[in-house]
Amino acid sequence: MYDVIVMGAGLAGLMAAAAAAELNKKVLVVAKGRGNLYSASGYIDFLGYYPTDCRQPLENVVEALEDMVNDNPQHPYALLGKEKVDQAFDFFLKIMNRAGYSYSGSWKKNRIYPTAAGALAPTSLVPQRSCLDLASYQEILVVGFREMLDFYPFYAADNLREQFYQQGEKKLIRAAWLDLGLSKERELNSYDLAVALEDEAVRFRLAEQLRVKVSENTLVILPAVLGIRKWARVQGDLERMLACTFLEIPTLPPSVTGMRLAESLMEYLEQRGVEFQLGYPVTGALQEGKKCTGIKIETASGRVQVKRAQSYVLATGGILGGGLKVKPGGITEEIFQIKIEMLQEMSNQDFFAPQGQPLSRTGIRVNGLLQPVGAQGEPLLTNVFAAGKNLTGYDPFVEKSGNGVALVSGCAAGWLAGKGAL
Amino acid sequence: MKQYEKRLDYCLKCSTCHTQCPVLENFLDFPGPKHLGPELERLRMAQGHKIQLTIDGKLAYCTNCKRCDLACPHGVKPSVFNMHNRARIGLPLQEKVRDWVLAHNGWWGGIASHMPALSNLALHNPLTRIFLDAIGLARRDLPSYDKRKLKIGKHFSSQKKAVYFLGCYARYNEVAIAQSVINIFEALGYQLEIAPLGCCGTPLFSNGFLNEARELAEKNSRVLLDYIEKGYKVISSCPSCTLTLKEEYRDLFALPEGEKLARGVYDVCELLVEEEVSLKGATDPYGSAYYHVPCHLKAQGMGTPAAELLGQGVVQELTVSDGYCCGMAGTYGFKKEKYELSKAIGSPVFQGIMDKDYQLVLTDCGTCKLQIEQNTGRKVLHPVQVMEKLIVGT
Repeated sequence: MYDVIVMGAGLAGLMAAAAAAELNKKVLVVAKGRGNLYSASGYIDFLGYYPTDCRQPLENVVEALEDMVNDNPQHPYALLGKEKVDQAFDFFLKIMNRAGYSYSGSWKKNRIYPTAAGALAPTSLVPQRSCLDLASYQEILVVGFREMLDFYPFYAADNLREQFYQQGEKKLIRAAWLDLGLSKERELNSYDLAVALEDEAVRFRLAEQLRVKVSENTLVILPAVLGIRKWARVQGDLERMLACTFLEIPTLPPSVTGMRLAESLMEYLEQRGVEFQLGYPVTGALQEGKKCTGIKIETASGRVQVKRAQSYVLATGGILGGGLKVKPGGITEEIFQIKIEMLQEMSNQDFFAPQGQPLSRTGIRVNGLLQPVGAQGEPLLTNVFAAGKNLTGYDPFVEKSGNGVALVSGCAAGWLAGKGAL
Repeated sequence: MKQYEKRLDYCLKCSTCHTQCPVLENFLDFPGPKHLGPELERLRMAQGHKIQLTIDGKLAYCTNCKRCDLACPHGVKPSVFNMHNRARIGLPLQEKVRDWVLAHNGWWGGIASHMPALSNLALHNPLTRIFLDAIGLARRDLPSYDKRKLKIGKHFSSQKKAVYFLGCYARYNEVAIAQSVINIFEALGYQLEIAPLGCCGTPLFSNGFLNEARELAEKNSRVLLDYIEKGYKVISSCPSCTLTLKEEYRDLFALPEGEKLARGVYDVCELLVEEEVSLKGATDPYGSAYYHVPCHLKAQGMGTPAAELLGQGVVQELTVSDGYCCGMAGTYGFKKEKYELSKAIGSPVFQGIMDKDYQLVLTDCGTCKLQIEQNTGRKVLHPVQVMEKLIVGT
């Protein structure tokens, strides 16, 4: 018997587990597999663009949040309110610090960071080690690795130069290919390189090749490959050897920056006594009236294991994450058989329309306590709290709010579940 | 299209499995589960599985730990593709001979346990060691053969029936584990029988002898289903045996009655938890224990029943470690060219054990036990050996 069972191991699920564990609750996390953090940037975007047809990243986030509360009361931020947002972000910064992988920034201010294609994109929180002011570097070197897929330094450098130029900033931006001689029989990805660079000899080779290309004032931008677990050591060593500054850019999956966030958080939670059961999905729930009394997991034997808790957090994701199933005639959340409200128009002919695709907003309707509600606003379940992309009312793709909503709603769901709210 | 092939299209190539592969982390030339599995399978299927891809040779380095299967956010099981294709790769003759010897450990065990003293003498004979070295076996401790006979109590009839699938390790190498299981289940009032069967087939298919393993699976399945129909539960103390009986017979071999068999198979501690056996109020608890969760136990998705039981008060400070593979992977760590890799994979486990002065070191799997004992110098017990006196009494 647990106090709280969290379904889902993405950012929303892990934050819910952290919040409940903070209240000294006995927590179990159950998920089909590892969450999508391994494919994500590891940056926390709170709100990049609002209204979403605005071309420029949002400057005054606090004001935009107030507008949002008025315009879109179903938005998870509007449902939870500014105070919960503040608490959740403070809590995240606090536990990541305890987990040994600190973050910095604030939801109130967007910072601009380069993407792997060299675009400049808004975000709110970044790992402490990546926290620097791009404007203060006049000289940038973008570095790629010959043996590594999917990162093209000259392409990224061209785009960066263009973007800075448009902002009226003239910087010296160069690009270079390095070859660490690692690719023996296959193409490598960022994870492979990050593993390789934990080896001192490989680090030394990197430093030797870079030495002639950098000075003290150079900002070296490279794909996120500076170590998986010993990242502090890898980056520290290189900065000592070369006396320049490094900025890692999140890459295509597998994303080393996303993985570091996922694994530091999971390791921290395990130390706090949170249990994990990953690999087999929750296939259904037991219900008595409006109370969930247990969840069902079909294990390798095909027998169903029932796990019970006082309250439950549903953070299994949206359509992409597999939490919502699209079938001819409707969309359902399959654990609790919650029917998702269908919109008149589910798609927009203009795929990249700035107002987004209506389908990305589909999800479970909840009240301010994150309990799933029916058409009249009545709670369908009283001890189940939904979080993350399970929720309706927001479009993470055009708003750039995915991890922000996961973090805020995840924390709130974990607190509510932990307190056994109402 | 076969059942396992249907999952192929769920692979988004996100590479989450790639980041969880213990082989890849220690051996960069290994292409990893995603590439060898779902990614290349599309190519192989397009060619009707007729052309041998050269990269497939690397499949011999897969330990079949199944961490990739558990990692996948979309329900794909790369290990199933890998085990199918493992059987198709061509290896040098010497490796083939060596793998045949290792794959038939049950057969050797059958002979050796009839004359354990002689076998153990032969195993440790320098000439034998030279021979084993020549065919590609690592210079490491080999498990000794155990000559003790199992003692089964008086036969009685009960509503609760179980048939015990011993597995090679408990049958030939460490009878004490099997004896503890027997004592526990008899004390709980089970009508217990020993399954008249040998190996489950894991060493066969993980060394590429898929067809032979299939024949064995069919035979084992027939016998065990007979028991299940008579109301018996199938139990085993070996995680690889239970995983194979539950999952591989159904998914890898697609046996028609695989599902029915799977539903009747229990890990011993899984059944003890289901029986609501209480180990509370242990008068003389152990101070601390390190429990290494074998990959094949973790892969069954049932949590860690042994830890649930031990955590009731048998051990005051229980460290449950399921983050790392010990690297042994059954017969893998006995192979000369994989020996160092196997130790590198397991090093976080060994370090974890040696960092602290644990009173007990525990694991359910026989070969995990060999690997940990050899690399830490610590004696390792099966959890049932600790629980026995609490359930049975003295």
